[in-house]
Order: sequence, then C-alpha cells, then structure tokens
Amino acid sequence: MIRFVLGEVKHPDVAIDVARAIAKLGVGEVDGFGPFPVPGWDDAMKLPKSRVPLIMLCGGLTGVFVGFFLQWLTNGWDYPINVAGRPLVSAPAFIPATFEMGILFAAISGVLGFIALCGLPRVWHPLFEVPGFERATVDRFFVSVRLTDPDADTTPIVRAFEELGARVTVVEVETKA
Amino acid sequence: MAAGGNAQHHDPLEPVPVLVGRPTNESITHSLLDYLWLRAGKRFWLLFLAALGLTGVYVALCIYTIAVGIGTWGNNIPVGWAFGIINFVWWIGIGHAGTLISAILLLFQQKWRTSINRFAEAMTLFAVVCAGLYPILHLGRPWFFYWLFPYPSASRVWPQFRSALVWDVFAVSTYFTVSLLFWYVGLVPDLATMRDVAKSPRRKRIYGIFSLGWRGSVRHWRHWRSLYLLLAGIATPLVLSVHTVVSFDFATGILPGWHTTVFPPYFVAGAVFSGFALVMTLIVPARKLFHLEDVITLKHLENMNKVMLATSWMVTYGYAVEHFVAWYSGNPYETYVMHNRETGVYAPIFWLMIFCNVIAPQSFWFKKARTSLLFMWVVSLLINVGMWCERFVIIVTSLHRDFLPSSWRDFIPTWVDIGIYIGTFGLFGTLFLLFLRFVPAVAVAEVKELAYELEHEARHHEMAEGAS
Repeated sequence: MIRFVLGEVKHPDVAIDVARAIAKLGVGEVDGFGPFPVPGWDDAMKLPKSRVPLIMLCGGLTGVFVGFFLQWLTNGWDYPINVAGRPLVSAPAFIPATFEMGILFAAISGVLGFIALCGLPRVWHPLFEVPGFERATVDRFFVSVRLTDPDADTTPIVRAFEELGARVTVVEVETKA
Repeated sequence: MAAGGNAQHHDPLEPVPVLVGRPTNESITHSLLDYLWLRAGKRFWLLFLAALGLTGVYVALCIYTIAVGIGTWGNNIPVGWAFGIINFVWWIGIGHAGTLISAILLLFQQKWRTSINRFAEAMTLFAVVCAGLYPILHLGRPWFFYWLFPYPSASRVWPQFRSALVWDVFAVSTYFTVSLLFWYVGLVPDLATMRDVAKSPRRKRIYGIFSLGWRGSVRHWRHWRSLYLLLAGIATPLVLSVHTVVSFDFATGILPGWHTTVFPPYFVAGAVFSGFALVMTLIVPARKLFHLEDVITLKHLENMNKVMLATSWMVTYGYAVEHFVAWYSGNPYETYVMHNRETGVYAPIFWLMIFCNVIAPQSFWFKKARTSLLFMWVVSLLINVGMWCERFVIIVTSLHRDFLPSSWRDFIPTWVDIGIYIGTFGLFGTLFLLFLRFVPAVAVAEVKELAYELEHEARHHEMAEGAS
C-alpha cells in the first residue's frame, strides 16, 4: 500500500516554503504541483538537473552524423553523378541537409526524452482522485509526500503542512503508484 | 475579475502594461478559456463557412491541375516558376514571424511575447502547410512527391544533395516538424488545464488524452522548461536557415537578379516583416472578437509595429544593395534587370512594392500611427501585399527577360493560378478558425507565470519606494 500526504496552498511562495519544510523532514518522495513553473520551487526541492539537454545533444549529434553519412553514401558512393567534374562528396553543399537533420533529430529526441523522463503519457494518477486536485492546473499549489512504508508516521508531515496553513489530505492507494 | 489599475506600478518608460490589472490565476484561466466552451456564434459560422467554401475551391482547382496538368497555370518558358513559387515563398515567410515571436523573443526574455506566441505559432504551422503544398503541386506529377526523400527505391536513384531544391525539402519538412513539436510542448500544460475545467466527460477525456495526463508536477515542469528553452534555442538558427535555404533556390542560380549574396539576410528580414504583418492582420480582429484586450494590450501591438518598422528598413536596404551592386558590377545583364524592374511591363508591381514595403511602414515613426488600431491594420494589409509583390518582382521580372531576347516572354496568371492562391486563404482560414475553437489561443500557463513575475516586480518596487 502506498500513501500520499497532500498539502494545498493558495500562493506559490507559500508552496516553496512548504516544500522546504518538508524537505527538512527528509521523509518520503516529495513532489509539487502547480499551474505554471514557479521560479525557485524546483531548486527548493533540490531536484537534480534535467537530463533533457543531454538527450537533445546526443540526438542532435546523431542527426548530424546520420545526415552527412546519408549524403556521402547516396551521392558519393551508391549513385555518383558527375556534374562538370565537380567533387562528388562536396562538404559545403552537404551542410544544409546535415544541419537540418541535426536540428530535426535534436527536437524529436528532446520531446521523446521529455515524455519518457516525465513518465507520460499517463492519463490516470492516484492524486487525480483527490477532490480539488484538478485545481493544480488552474490556481492552486500542492506539495505531496509519497510514502511507501505502511508503518511510517504521517503526523510530523501533517504538522509541518498545517504550520504553514496548508489544507492536508491523506490518500491511500492499494496498487503500486 | 482583474483588480483596478491602482495596484499596478507605473514605469514612466512603459506606460502601457503587458497585462492589464492584477488578475488572479483563476480569472486568467476563465478569461482565456471560457470562450472555448461557448457555442460558436453566428459570426464564427459565417467566417468558417466562407473559409470552408474557399477551401473547396482550392481542392477543386488542385484536382483540376493534377488531372489536366501544369499547363492550366500561366507558367511558360522562360517564366517556369511564377505563382507556385511566389506563393510558396510568401507563405513560408509569413510563418517565420511565429517562430521569431515564440523562440527568438523567448531567448531575449521579451515578456510581451507571452500573450501572442501561441497565436503566432499556430499561424506558422498553417502557413507552412499552405506553403508546402505549392512546390508539391508544381512538381507536375505531385503523386511522386516522395521521390524527393532519400529512400532506398528499386531504381536505386537517390536525390541530388548538391541541389538547392533538395535542401529546401529538408529545411521545410524539418521546420514544420520542429514547429509542430514546439507548439505541442507548449500546449500540453494548457490542455491539462482544459481537461480540469471542462464540464462534460467527453471533453475531459479528449483533452485528457491530448494533455498526456499532465498533472503540473514540479519535476515535470523542470524538464518542460528545459525542453521549451532548448527547442526555442534550436528553432532560432532553424528559422534563419529555412529562409536562407529558400533564398538559395534563387541565389545559387546564375540568373541576373537572383545571383547575389545579399539574398539570405534580405529574405529572412522580409520573412519576419511579412510574418509580423500577418500576425497583426489576424490579431487585431481576433482580440476584439474573443475579448483578449487585457492580455493582448496596445503595448504588444505597438511593439510589433516597431519590429515592422525595423524590418522594413532591412528590406529597404536589400532593395538598395541589389540596385547598387547591379550598377557597380558593370554587368549589362544585371543592370538591365534592375532597369527593367523599374520601367518594364511589371513596373507597377515594383512601385507598389516600394510603396507598401518602404513608404507605408514609415508612418510607424509616429506614436499616433503605432497605436491606432485601424491604421495599423491597414498598414499590415499593405505590407502583406507589398511582400507578395516583392516575390513577384524577384521571380517574374528576373525570369521573363532571359539572356537571349529571342526567348523573352511575359507572364500572365490564369484563373487557376489566382483561384489556387485565393483558395489557400480558405485553407489557412479553416485551420486557423478550428484552432481558435478548440485550443487556447493564448498560452495560459505562461500568462500565469508572467502575472507572478509582474507581482514580484511590483512588490520589489513598492518595497524600494517604502524604504526611500
């Protein structure tokens, strides 16, 4: 059984304070939810750097190599056309397509990487069952603590939430979430 | 709704705010999304049916062209490119403003872009769709368009990568894909908001699927931010490369009037110029129709007018350099082309271009002109006309007077040419109206972030004033 302790606040600045207070307790997996990327919230949660840039760099470099190799293979080797004795493999002429392929691969791998890192698409999540959670994409800010240990004590978490004026809900989920 | 102006701090240099009042997140959500739940009004249906009718004309004429052949167009030898390529370049140029607003202005941290970026990105996508169809139709046998892509065919023939036309295929298809991804990534959080405020289960389900189950997690926002910024970062060189490659279609040819190194920057500036003009043409009525005046303020419109004024000068510089180099080169063919543009059969189009692109935008030096809705709307229309004329001048006047006077021939568009051109407006309009109906036209999450930042700024300002 997995439990979520969920605190709801009205202002993003309070959400950051709550996230800090909860992080100090060092229990469970902390997450936050809000309608826009609040500057500083992710840093308050001490999240690691996003790996999206690295994925895009790898994708982009792959695109560049694939693009150039494709042109070399097709025009230089498999189907050479002699145009007034000009070089078959002429790097300057191959640059535009190489560049475009780099951009294309970077963008596609970035989006796929983002979706994979976020664990999306996932149209249902246990927190969606909490009444009022739908306002996380409208005007409310939530901090959640995910507890996998069934014996863990929720009281210090609830107290930390309440000290900062958050409305607290505890959700129990039977399945793995 | 929005709080009064008294809470707003007034910067003497920025008297018109980018966001009117201090709306709450809830009021932002409602003011930007509520119109999507309303039944479409009479005006909408009227516009939509008109656009759909024109799309019908477009489809019919495309079928006619494919069935009968390119001979239905006015193209001839030597004017082999004519309308097909004029309209391709025109539409793709229009699309570039969308990327400029959403990507380049994001990188420059121009906050005013937030309210108009979604709108402009949608315009990019639909403009690229309209543009891409022209060269495909112009192929003559459009059903073989996939020959343009390098795929292992049985005949073992590959595309010729030393040709600018193949670069075009790569540039435009990459541009479309990246624009679509950028637009969609920006949309995901807003689609989730729509899922959460939707009343009917059917809508909840549809928006739920398209939002991928986005729940606004801070962990996800961290990835999202990083992706969004990087997509903007790569879209910026991409948009410059696309119109550069389009200009290479001409510049790599040896034709007088085409074979010039000023083309890439001149084309990119022209693209931005015409794109901003079309955003203006569309946004002035749309903000009225959907009551977006608080989010898309006069400040946005004025800034766009300033961009148009600046890009107008860049295009003017392009015209000047073309003429100067033609004269300075001493090449009789180059000199003749420029002379022919000013005085030949197509001179009226050249002078119309000068009026629309060089003279009309100069009115934006005056604040009165920059802030008058009707005036800026009319000027934006003129710029659209002017930029179309520019492409006509470049393509037709260079082609119709060949090196050999024996092959000279004028170009007159046929009714099919004109019909297809008008028809693409229908296609564009249909797609755009569908977008306005089903997708938030303003980036809701980004406006909320902007409101938060403005609130912080205002608080800083008040504290600083209190301390002094």
